Amino acid sequence: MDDKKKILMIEDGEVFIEIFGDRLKQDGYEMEFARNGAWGLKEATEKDFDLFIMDMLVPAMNGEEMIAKLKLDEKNKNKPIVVLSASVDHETQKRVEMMGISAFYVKTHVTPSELSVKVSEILGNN
Amino acid sequence: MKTIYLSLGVVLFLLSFSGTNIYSSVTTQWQVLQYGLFGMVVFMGFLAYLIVKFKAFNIKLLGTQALVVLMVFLIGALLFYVKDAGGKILILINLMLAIGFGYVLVKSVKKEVEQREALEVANKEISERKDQLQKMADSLSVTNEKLKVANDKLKVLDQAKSDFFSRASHDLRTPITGVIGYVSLLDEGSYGAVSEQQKTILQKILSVTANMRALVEDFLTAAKLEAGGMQYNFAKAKVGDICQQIVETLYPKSKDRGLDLDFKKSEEELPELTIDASRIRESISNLVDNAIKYTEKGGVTVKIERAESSNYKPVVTNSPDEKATKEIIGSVVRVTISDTGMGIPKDGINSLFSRFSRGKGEARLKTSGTGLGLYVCKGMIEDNGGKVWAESDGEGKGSRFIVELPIETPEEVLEKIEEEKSKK
Repeated sequence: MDDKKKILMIEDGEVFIEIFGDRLKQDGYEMEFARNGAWGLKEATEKDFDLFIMDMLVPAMNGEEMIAKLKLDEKNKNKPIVVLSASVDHETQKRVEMMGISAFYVKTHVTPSELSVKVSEILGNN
Repeated sequence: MKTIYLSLGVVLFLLSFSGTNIYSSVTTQWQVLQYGLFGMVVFMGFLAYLIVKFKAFNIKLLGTQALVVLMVFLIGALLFYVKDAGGKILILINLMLAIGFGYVLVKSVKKEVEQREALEVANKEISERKDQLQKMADSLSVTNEKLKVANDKLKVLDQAKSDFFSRASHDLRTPITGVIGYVSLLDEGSYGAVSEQQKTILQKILSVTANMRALVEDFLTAAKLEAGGMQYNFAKAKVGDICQQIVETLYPKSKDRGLDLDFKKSEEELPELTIDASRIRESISNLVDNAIKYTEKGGVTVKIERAESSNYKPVVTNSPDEKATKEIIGSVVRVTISDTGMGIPKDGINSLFSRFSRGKGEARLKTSGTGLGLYVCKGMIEDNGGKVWAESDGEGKGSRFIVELPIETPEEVLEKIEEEKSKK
């Protein structure tokens, strides 16, 4: 069994998939992508991931719903979640932080390497 | 039935009249003749009964009067035919009775007719009013219907507005994130080795894009504020705690610039205010950040205290459109951010909070900023019921930015007024 950590990124913007995804791949993570929320949730329940990175605004199910569903799922409830939000919305941030996510970033304010550092921190602690 | 009663009266009258006539001519007892006249009283009795019983007031007042006059005339005429004194007295009594009875009858008929007329007028008025009311009710329900439609439309528009903002935010930020992401990957060598010269250029691209990002953020906030699309969450919060956090967060930045950053707490315990804490934090933090940015030497002080002020129109709803009209004259929490920086020239102090104002002077032009920061800051403080303004003794003499937030909400003021009233 290979010890590569698996990350599911739920994101519909190809640009973000490329810049954040490529960087994480380079840093040695096995990446899978879901272009909408419903698909992301299906992947999450069928396969084993070590961490989820999600956009708050994706088709078919929004970020908050996804987080709520993951937190109710026996297999995934303790898996770390990193949110990459498109907008600076303190209320949403507060709400999802209360739901037990590991990190919240506004996309415009985080570089791919900063995200990668955070991911390794979270997975290192796990 | 009315006709029967009337005819019966007439027949009885005629019978008594002709009966006594026939009887007296046959028996030649002429004194009996005068008793026939009592038939008249019977007839009048029937007539009166008819009028009262069947409310036959359509027998016009005039008719009643004519009848009475005619009877009085007829009875009176008998006086000339009857010769003996006893008969004359009887006829006189009869005449008196007829006059008295007739008078009462005419009067009562007159009264009834008047009452009926008044009643008819009143009835007419009532039905007219009823029609008017019905019309008003109809038009009201039409207006209500229209209002409901308008309200629904407004809700749709409101939703469209907030959808537009989130869409615009998303779409404007995406390319910026892309640029920053790719450039940072390039810079870090993810796509191959980069020369020092190229690195310098990439750093410049990053810095320019960061400015654009700030501009987009401020622009979106300003547009949201203007369109009334800003959502507020009012809750009880302590401004002192907010200031403390801001000072702690910005302390490293001021230290980097070699400046002091002091926080002067209020000596007395300040009450909690009903505000949107995150917006107030953003606004005050912006002011403190500005003060640090525009100060080269010395330092920045954040002071919080209780003060007396006037003319506040606090908001306690989530919609800035529903600003309370009640003015508050009383205590406020005042936050003063003073610096030993470049100061503000007198002619620039008023336009400082307007859109795209950057303050005057060469030094201010050197610093980065979008010119929307203070405008957004003012909008958010005012939406929280407060005031913000700047003071300066002139260029090079430092500046003070003062934020005041009312301690009492309009509801609390109203409650107080009610309490005072009930005490009296």
